[in-house]
Amino acid sequence: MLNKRSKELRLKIIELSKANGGYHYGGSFSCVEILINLYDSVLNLEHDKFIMSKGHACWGFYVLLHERGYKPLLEGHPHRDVHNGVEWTTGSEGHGLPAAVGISLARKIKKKKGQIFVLIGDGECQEGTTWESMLLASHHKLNNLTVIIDFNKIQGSGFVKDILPVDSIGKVAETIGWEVSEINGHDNNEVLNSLNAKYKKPHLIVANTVKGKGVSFMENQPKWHANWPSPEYEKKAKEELSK
Amino acid sequence: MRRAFGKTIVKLAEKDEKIILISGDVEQEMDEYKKKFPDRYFNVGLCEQSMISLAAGMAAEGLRPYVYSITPFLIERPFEQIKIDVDEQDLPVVMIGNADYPSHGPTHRPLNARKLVSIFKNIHGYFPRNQFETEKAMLDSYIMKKPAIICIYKDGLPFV
Repeated sequence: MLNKRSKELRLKIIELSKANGGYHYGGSFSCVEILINLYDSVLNLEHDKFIMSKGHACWGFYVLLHERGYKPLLEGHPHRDVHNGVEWTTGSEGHGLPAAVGISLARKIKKKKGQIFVLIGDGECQEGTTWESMLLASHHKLNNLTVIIDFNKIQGSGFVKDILPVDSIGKVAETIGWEVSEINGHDNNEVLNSLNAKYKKPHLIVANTVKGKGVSFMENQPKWHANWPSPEYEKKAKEELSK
Repeated sequence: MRRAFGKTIVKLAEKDEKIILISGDVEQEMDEYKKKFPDRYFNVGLCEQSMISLAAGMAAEGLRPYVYSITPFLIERPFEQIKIDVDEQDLPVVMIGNADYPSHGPTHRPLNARKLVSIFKNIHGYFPRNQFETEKAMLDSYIMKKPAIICIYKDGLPFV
Protein backbone atom coordinates (compact mmCIF):
# COMPACT_ATOMS: atom_id res chain seq x y z
CA MET A 1 0.00 0.00 0.00
CA LEU A 2 1.22 3.44 -0.86
CA ASN A 3 1.22 5.97 1.94
CA LYS A 4 -0.38 9.40 1.85
CA ARG A 5 2.77 11.20 0.76
CA SER A 6 3.28 8.79 -2.14
CA LYS A 7 -0.30 9.17 -3.33
CA GLU A 8 -0.28 12.94 -3.00
CA LEU A 9 2.92 13.24 -4.96
CA ARG A 10 1.41 11.18 -7.77
CA LEU A 11 -1.65 13.45 -7.77
CA LYS A 12 0.60 16.49 -8.01
CA ILE A 13 2.48 14.83 -10.88
CA ILE A 14 -0.80 14.59 -12.80
CA GLU A 15 -1.66 18.22 -12.10
CA LEU A 16 1.76 19.66 -12.92
CA SER A 17 2.42 17.58 -16.01
CA LYS A 18 -1.05 18.16 -17.43
CA ALA A 19 -0.69 21.91 -17.06
CA ASN A 20 2.67 21.86 -18.82
CA GLY A 21 2.18 19.40 -21.64
CA GLY A 22 3.98 16.44 -20.09
CA TYR A 23 2.72 12.90 -20.32
CA HIS A 24 5.28 10.31 -19.19
CA TYR A 25 3.18 8.92 -16.35
CA GLY A 26 4.47 5.33 -16.31
CA GLY A 27 8.09 6.21 -15.57
CA SER A 28 7.18 9.19 -13.40
CA PHE A 29 5.10 6.96 -11.11
CA SER A 30 7.63 4.11 -10.91
CA CYS A 31 10.30 6.33 -9.30
CA VAL A 32 8.16 8.29 -6.82
CA GLU A 33 9.35 6.49 -3.66
CA ILE A 34 12.98 6.76 -4.76
CA LEU A 35 12.62 10.52 -5.26
CA ILE A 36 10.64 11.08 -2.06
CA ASN A 37 13.24 9.32 0.07
CA LEU A 38 16.08 11.13 -1.68
CA TYR A 39 14.60 14.59 -1.22
CA ASP A 40 12.77 14.18 2.09
CA SER A 41 15.44 12.21 3.95
CA VAL A 42 18.77 11.70 2.20
CA LEU A 43 20.00 14.61 0.13
CA ASN A 44 21.94 17.35 1.84
CA LEU A 45 21.48 19.98 -0.83
CA GLU A 46 24.53 21.87 0.39
CA HIS A 47 26.94 19.03 -0.35
CA ASP A 48 25.17 16.32 -2.31
CA LYS A 49 24.00 16.36 -5.88
CA PHE A 50 21.22 14.55 -7.67
CA ILE A 51 21.01 14.06 -11.42
CA MET A 52 17.71 12.98 -12.93
CA SER A 53 19.18 11.08 -15.84
CA LYS A 54 15.87 9.52 -16.88
CA GLY A 55 14.72 12.98 -17.84
CA HIS A 56 11.36 12.00 -19.33
CA ALA A 57 10.14 11.07 -15.83
CA CYS A 58 10.83 14.59 -14.56
CA TRP A 59 7.46 15.51 -13.09
CA GLY A 60 7.88 14.10 -9.61
CA PHE A 61 11.34 15.65 -9.54
CA TYR A 62 9.83 19.04 -10.45
CA VAL A 63 7.15 18.71 -7.77
CA LEU A 64 9.78 17.99 -5.11
CA LEU A 65 11.87 20.96 -6.28
CA HIS A 66 8.78 23.21 -6.15
CA GLU A 67 8.10 22.10 -2.59
CA ARG A 68 11.57 23.39 -1.73
CA GLY A 69 11.00 26.78 -3.31
CA TYR A 70 12.84 26.12 -6.56
CA LYS A 71 11.33 27.12 -9.87
CA PRO A 72 12.77 24.91 -12.59
CA LEU A 73 11.73 25.36 -16.19
CA LEU A 74 8.75 23.04 -16.60
CA GLU A 75 9.62 21.42 -19.90
CA GLY A 76 9.12 17.78 -20.76
CA HIS A 77 12.79 17.08 -20.04
CA PRO A 78 14.99 18.89 -17.48
CA HIS A 79 17.18 21.81 -18.45
CA ARG A 80 20.27 22.48 -16.35
CA ASP A 81 19.63 25.32 -13.91
CA VAL A 82 21.71 24.82 -10.78
CA HIS A 83 20.07 27.73 -8.96
CA ASN A 84 16.77 25.89 -9.28
CA GLY A 85 18.00 22.44 -8.36
CA VAL A 86 18.47 20.99 -11.85
CA GLU A 87 22.06 19.80 -12.09
CA TRP A 88 22.08 18.45 -15.64
CA THR A 89 20.26 18.70 -18.95
CA THR A 90 18.81 15.26 -19.63
CA GLY A 91 16.23 13.56 -21.79
CA SER A 92 18.44 11.91 -24.34
CA GLU A 93 19.36 8.81 -22.39
CA GLY A 94 22.84 8.03 -21.15
CA HIS A 95 24.09 11.53 -20.35
CA GLY A 96 23.51 11.82 -16.61
CA LEU A 97 25.69 8.93 -15.51
CA PRO A 98 28.94 9.86 -17.31
CA ALA A 99 28.42 13.45 -16.16
CA ALA A 100 28.03 12.19 -12.59
CA VAL A 101 31.25 10.22 -13.00
CA GLY A 102 32.98 13.48 -13.97
CA ILE A 103 31.47 15.29 -10.98
CA SER A 104 32.42 12.49 -8.58
CA LEU A 105 35.95 12.35 -9.97
CA ALA A 106 36.27 16.14 -9.70
CA ARG A 107 35.20 15.91 -6.05
CA LYS A 108 37.88 13.28 -5.44
CA ILE A 109 40.50 15.54 -7.03
CA LYS A 110 39.35 18.55 -5.04
CA LYS A 111 38.86 16.47 -1.88
CA LYS A 112 35.35 17.91 -1.64
CA LYS A 113 32.72 16.04 0.33
CA GLY A 114 29.24 15.03 -0.77
CA GLN A 115 27.55 12.11 -2.45
CA ILE A 116 26.51 12.21 -6.11
CA PHE A 117 23.21 10.40 -6.81
CA VAL A 118 21.98 9.54 -10.30
CA LEU A 119 18.67 8.01 -11.26
CA ILE A 120 18.69 6.09 -14.53
CA GLY A 121 16.10 3.94 -16.25
CA ASP A 122 16.41 0.29 -17.19
CA GLY A 123 15.95 1.18 -20.86
CA GLU A 124 18.81 3.63 -20.34
CA CYS A 125 21.01 0.69 -19.39
CA GLN A 126 21.09 -0.21 -23.08
CA GLU A 127 23.13 2.93 -23.80
CA GLY A 128 26.84 2.35 -24.33
CA THR A 129 27.71 5.26 -22.05
CA THR A 130 26.10 3.41 -19.12
CA TRP A 131 28.61 0.59 -19.47
CA GLU A 132 31.54 2.93 -20.21
CA SER A 133 30.67 4.88 -17.06
CA MET A 134 30.45 1.76 -14.95
CA LEU A 135 33.98 0.83 -15.98
CA LEU A 136 35.25 4.34 -15.31
CA ALA A 137 33.59 4.66 -11.90
CA SER A 138 34.99 1.41 -10.52
CA HIS A 139 38.44 1.98 -12.02
CA HIS A 140 38.63 5.37 -10.29
CA LYS A 141 37.08 4.00 -7.06
CA LEU A 142 34.29 6.57 -6.98
CA ASN A 143 32.65 5.62 -3.70
CA ASN A 144 31.01 9.07 -3.69
CA LEU A 145 28.74 7.89 -6.51
CA THR A 146 25.37 6.18 -5.99
CA VAL A 147 23.45 5.07 -9.07
CA ILE A 148 19.84 4.00 -8.78
CA ILE A 149 18.21 2.06 -11.61
CA ASP A 150 14.44 2.48 -11.75
CA PHE A 151 14.00 -1.09 -12.96
CA ASN A 152 10.39 -0.89 -14.12
CA LYS A 153 10.85 -3.46 -16.94
CA ILE A 154 9.20 -1.33 -19.63
CA GLN A 155 10.70 1.09 -22.16
CA GLY A 156 9.29 3.28 -24.93
CA SER A 157 7.91 0.60 -27.20
CA GLY A 158 7.43 -2.43 -24.97
CA PHE A 159 8.97 -4.74 -22.38
CA VAL A 160 12.74 -4.43 -21.89
CA LYS A 161 13.10 -8.23 -21.81
CA ASP A 162 11.65 -8.48 -25.33
CA ILE A 163 13.60 -5.56 -26.81
CA LEU A 164 17.07 -5.86 -25.31
CA PRO A 165 17.29 -7.34 -21.79
CA VAL A 166 19.60 -5.67 -19.28
CA ASP A 167 19.08 -7.96 -16.29
CA SER A 168 22.79 -8.78 -16.21
CA ILE A 169 23.75 -5.24 -15.22
CA GLY A 170 23.87 -5.97 -11.47
CA LYS A 171 26.10 -9.01 -11.95
CA VAL A 172 28.41 -7.15 -14.31
CA ALA A 173 28.66 -4.21 -11.92
CA GLU A 174 29.54 -6.53 -9.05
CA THR A 175 32.15 -8.30 -11.15
CA ILE A 176 33.92 -5.07 -12.10
CA GLY A 177 34.05 -3.67 -8.59
CA TRP A 178 30.76 -2.06 -7.66
CA GLU A 179 28.73 -2.62 -4.53
CA VAL A 180 25.31 -3.76 -5.72
CA SER A 181 22.01 -3.76 -3.80
CA GLU A 182 18.76 -5.09 -5.13
CA ILE A 183 15.66 -3.66 -3.50
CA ASN A 184 11.93 -3.16 -3.83
CA GLY A 185 11.82 0.40 -5.15
CA HIS A 186 8.40 1.07 -3.62
CA ASP A 187 9.34 -0.03 -0.09
CA ASN A 188 10.34 3.12 1.76
CA ASN A 189 12.54 1.30 4.29
CA GLU A 190 14.47 -0.58 1.65
CA VAL A 191 14.86 2.54 -0.48
CA LEU A 192 16.00 4.69 2.43
CA ASN A 193 18.47 2.15 3.81
CA SER A 194 20.09 1.57 0.45
CA LEU A 195 20.35 5.30 -0.33
CA ASN A 196 21.99 5.95 3.03
CA ALA A 197 24.46 3.07 2.75
CA LYS A 198 28.15 4.01 2.50
CA TYR A 199 30.68 1.74 0.84
CA LYS A 200 34.28 1.82 -0.30
CA LYS A 201 33.12 1.28 -3.89
CA PRO A 202 30.62 2.99 -6.19
CA HIS A 203 27.14 1.83 -5.28
CA LEU A 204 24.55 0.53 -7.73
CA ILE A 205 21.00 0.15 -6.45
CA VAL A 206 18.81 -2.00 -8.66
CA ALA A 207 15.36 -0.84 -7.59
CA ASN A 208 12.66 -3.21 -8.77
CA THR A 209 9.63 -1.07 -9.52
CA VAL A 210 6.30 -1.20 -11.32
CA LYS A 211 5.75 1.12 -14.24
CA GLY A 212 2.67 3.25 -13.60
CA LYS A 213 2.68 2.27 -9.89
CA GLY A 214 -0.34 3.51 -7.96
CA VAL A 215 -2.92 3.62 -10.74
CA SER A 216 -4.36 0.17 -11.49
CA PHE A 217 -4.92 0.58 -15.22
CA MET A 218 -1.47 2.10 -15.77
CA GLU A 219 0.49 -0.51 -13.83
CA ASN A 220 2.79 -2.63 -15.96
CA GLN A 221 1.18 -1.39 -19.19
CA PRO A 222 3.66 -0.33 -21.89
CA LYS A 223 1.20 2.13 -23.43
CA TRP A 224 1.39 4.27 -20.30
CA HIS A 225 5.07 4.97 -20.90
CA ALA A 226 3.90 8.03 -22.77
CA ASN A 227 0.16 8.33 -23.08
CA TRP A 228 -1.98 11.40 -22.63
CA PRO A 229 -4.92 10.46 -20.37
CA SER A 230 -8.37 11.34 -21.60
CA PRO A 231 -10.47 13.30 -19.04
CA GLU A 232 -12.18 10.03 -18.14
CA TYR A 233 -8.89 8.24 -17.40
CA GLU A 234 -7.54 11.26 -15.58
CA LYS A 235 -10.60 11.28 -13.31
CA LYS A 236 -10.25 7.55 -12.66
CA ALA A 237 -6.55 7.90 -11.83
CA LYS A 238 -7.22 10.77 -9.44
CA GLU A 239 -10.01 8.83 -7.74
CA GLU A 240 -7.72 5.85 -7.13
CA LEU A 241 -4.97 8.07 -5.76
CA SER A 242 -7.39 9.94 -3.49
CA LYS A 243 -8.64 6.82 -1.69
CA MET B 1 51.48 22.13 -33.40
CA ARG B 2 51.33 19.07 -31.15
CA ARG B 3 54.53 20.22 -29.46
CA ALA B 4 53.00 23.65 -28.94
CA PHE B 5 49.96 21.97 -27.37
CA GLY B 6 52.19 19.86 -25.10
CA LYS B 7 54.25 22.84 -23.96
CA THR B 8 51.29 25.15 -23.44
CA ILE B 9 49.21 22.68 -21.43
CA VAL B 10 52.17 22.35 -19.04
CA LYS B 11 52.46 26.13 -18.81
CA LEU B 12 48.76 26.45 -18.01
CA ALA B 13 48.81 23.61 -15.49
CA GLU B 14 51.75 25.19 -13.66
CA LYS B 15 49.71 28.35 -13.28
CA ASP B 16 46.34 26.83 -12.44
CA GLU B 17 45.82 23.66 -10.45
CA LYS B 18 42.30 23.36 -11.82
CA ILE B 19 43.67 22.30 -15.22
CA ILE B 20 42.96 18.64 -15.93
CA LEU B 21 44.16 16.81 -19.04
CA ILE B 22 41.96 14.00 -20.32
CA SER B 23 42.95 11.78 -23.20
CA GLY B 24 41.02 9.21 -25.17
CA ASP B 25 44.03 6.92 -25.38
CA VAL B 26 45.86 9.31 -27.69
CA GLU B 27 48.97 10.41 -25.84
CA GLN B 28 50.83 12.87 -28.00
CA GLU B 29 53.34 15.29 -26.54
CA MET B 30 52.05 14.62 -23.03
CA ASP B 31 55.15 13.14 -21.39
CA GLU B 32 56.15 16.33 -19.62
CA TYR B 33 52.61 17.00 -18.42
CA LYS B 34 52.14 13.43 -17.21
CA LYS B 35 55.44 13.56 -15.35
CA LYS B 36 54.70 16.88 -13.67
CA PHE B 37 50.97 16.41 -12.99
CA PRO B 38 50.21 12.70 -12.71
CA ASP B 39 47.20 13.39 -10.48
CA ARG B 40 45.68 15.72 -13.02
CA TYR B 41 45.96 13.43 -16.01
CA PHE B 42 43.31 10.87 -17.00
CA ASN B 43 43.54 8.51 -19.93
CA VAL B 44 39.91 7.37 -19.98
CA GLY B 45 40.49 4.73 -22.62
CA LEU B 46 38.24 4.25 -25.60
CA CYS B 47 35.14 5.90 -24.17
CA GLU B 48 34.88 8.92 -26.43
CA GLN B 49 31.25 9.64 -25.58
CA SER B 50 31.57 9.33 -21.81
CA MET B 51 34.86 11.24 -22.03
CA ILE B 52 33.01 14.40 -23.13
CA SER B 53 30.22 14.09 -20.52
CA LEU B 54 32.80 13.34 -17.83
CA ALA B 55 34.81 16.44 -18.80
CA ALA B 56 31.61 18.51 -18.69
CA GLY B 57 30.90 17.12 -15.21
CA MET B 58 34.37 18.19 -14.10
CA ALA B 59 33.82 21.67 -15.57
CA ALA B 60 30.53 21.91 -13.66
CA GLU B 61 32.55 21.33 -10.49
CA GLY B 62 34.86 24.24 -11.32
CA LEU B 63 37.76 22.36 -12.89
CA ARG B 64 39.21 23.29 -16.31
CA PRO B 65 39.29 20.11 -18.38
CA TYR B 66 41.27 19.89 -21.62
CA VAL B 67 40.27 16.86 -23.68
CA TYR B 68 42.60 15.48 -26.34
CA SER B 69 41.91 13.01 -29.11
CA ILE B 70 42.02 12.55 -32.86
CA THR B 71 39.63 15.06 -34.46
CA PRO B 72 36.98 12.64 -35.84
CA PHE B 73 36.95 10.71 -32.54
CA LEU B 74 36.73 13.98 -30.64
CA ILE B 75 33.93 15.72 -32.57
CA GLU B 76 32.04 13.22 -34.68
CA ARG B 77 31.71 10.19 -32.43
CA PRO B 78 30.45 12.09 -29.35
CA PHE B 79 28.56 14.74 -31.30
CA GLU B 80 25.47 14.66 -29.07
CA GLN B 81 27.57 14.74 -25.89
CA ILE B 82 29.19 17.92 -27.22
CA LYS B 83 25.78 19.33 -28.14
CA ILE B 84 24.06 18.65 -24.80
CA ASP B 85 26.70 18.35 -22.11
CA VAL B 86 29.10 21.04 -23.31
CA ASP B 87 27.42 23.44 -25.74
CA GLU B 88 23.87 23.55 -24.38
CA GLN B 89 25.09 23.90 -20.80
CA ASP B 90 27.85 26.31 -21.82
CA LEU B 91 30.51 24.56 -19.73
CA PRO B 92 34.19 25.48 -20.21
CA VAL B 93 35.50 22.25 -21.69
CA VAL B 94 38.35 22.71 -24.18
CA MET B 95 38.57 19.95 -26.77
CA ILE B 96 41.76 19.58 -28.79
CA GLY B 97 41.58 17.46 -31.91
CA ASN B 98 44.55 16.35 -33.92
CA ALA B 99 44.15 15.43 -37.58
CA ASP B 100 47.54 14.25 -38.76
CA TYR B 101 46.41 11.19 -40.65
CA PRO B 102 45.69 12.03 -44.28
CA SER B 103 46.80 8.56 -45.42
CA HIS B 104 45.12 6.54 -42.65
CA GLY B 105 41.78 6.03 -44.32
CA PRO B 106 38.30 7.47 -43.79
CA THR B 107 38.02 6.64 -40.08
CA HIS B 108 40.89 8.99 -39.23
CA ARG B 109 39.89 11.83 -41.55
CA PRO B 110 37.49 14.37 -40.08
CA LEU B 111 34.56 15.79 -41.98
CA ASN B 112 34.79 19.53 -42.37
CA ALA B 113 35.58 20.43 -38.74
CA ARG B 114 35.06 24.14 -39.40
CA LYS B 115 31.49 23.52 -40.54
CA LEU B 116 30.75 21.14 -37.67
CA VAL B 117 32.09 23.53 -35.03
CA SER B 118 30.17 26.45 -36.55
CA ILE B 119 26.83 24.75 -35.77
CA PHE B 120 27.19 25.06 -32.01
CA LYS B 121 25.74 27.95 -30.03
CA ASN B 122 28.46 28.53 -27.43
CA ILE B 123 31.53 26.64 -28.56
CA HIS B 124 34.32 28.73 -29.99
CA GLY B 125 36.32 27.12 -32.79
CA TYR B 126 40.07 27.66 -33.18
CA PHE B 127 41.86 26.56 -36.35
CA PRO B 128 45.51 27.46 -35.80
CA ARG B 129 47.83 27.31 -38.79
CA ASN B 130 51.11 26.95 -36.88
CA GLN B 131 52.64 26.45 -33.45
CA PHE B 132 52.31 30.09 -32.47
CA GLU B 133 48.62 30.17 -33.25
CA THR B 134 48.21 26.86 -31.43
CA GLU B 135 49.74 28.34 -28.29
CA LYS B 136 47.57 31.42 -28.66
CA ALA B 137 44.43 29.30 -29.09
CA MET B 138 45.28 27.36 -25.93
CA LEU B 139 45.89 30.55 -23.94
CA ASP B 140 42.79 32.29 -25.37
CA SER B 141 40.55 29.35 -24.55
CA TYR B 142 41.88 29.37 -21.00
CA ILE B 143 41.31 33.09 -20.51
CA MET B 144 37.87 33.08 -22.15
CA LYS B 145 36.64 30.25 -19.87
CA LYS B 146 34.19 29.18 -22.56
CA PRO B 147 33.72 25.85 -24.33
CA ALA B 148 36.13 25.55 -27.23
CA ILE B 149 37.35 23.19 -29.91
CA ILE B 150 40.92 23.56 -31.16
CA CYS B 151 41.75 21.69 -34.36
CA ILE B 152 45.43 21.07 -34.95
CA TYR B 153 47.48 19.16 -37.51
CA LYS B 154 51.09 18.62 -38.46
CA ASP B 155 52.39 21.86 -39.98
CA GLY B 156 55.77 20.37 -40.95
CA LEU B 157 57.74 23.24 -39.43
CA PRO B 158 60.50 22.80 -36.84
CA PHE B 159 59.33 23.54 -33.31
CA VAL B 160 60.61 26.84 -31.94
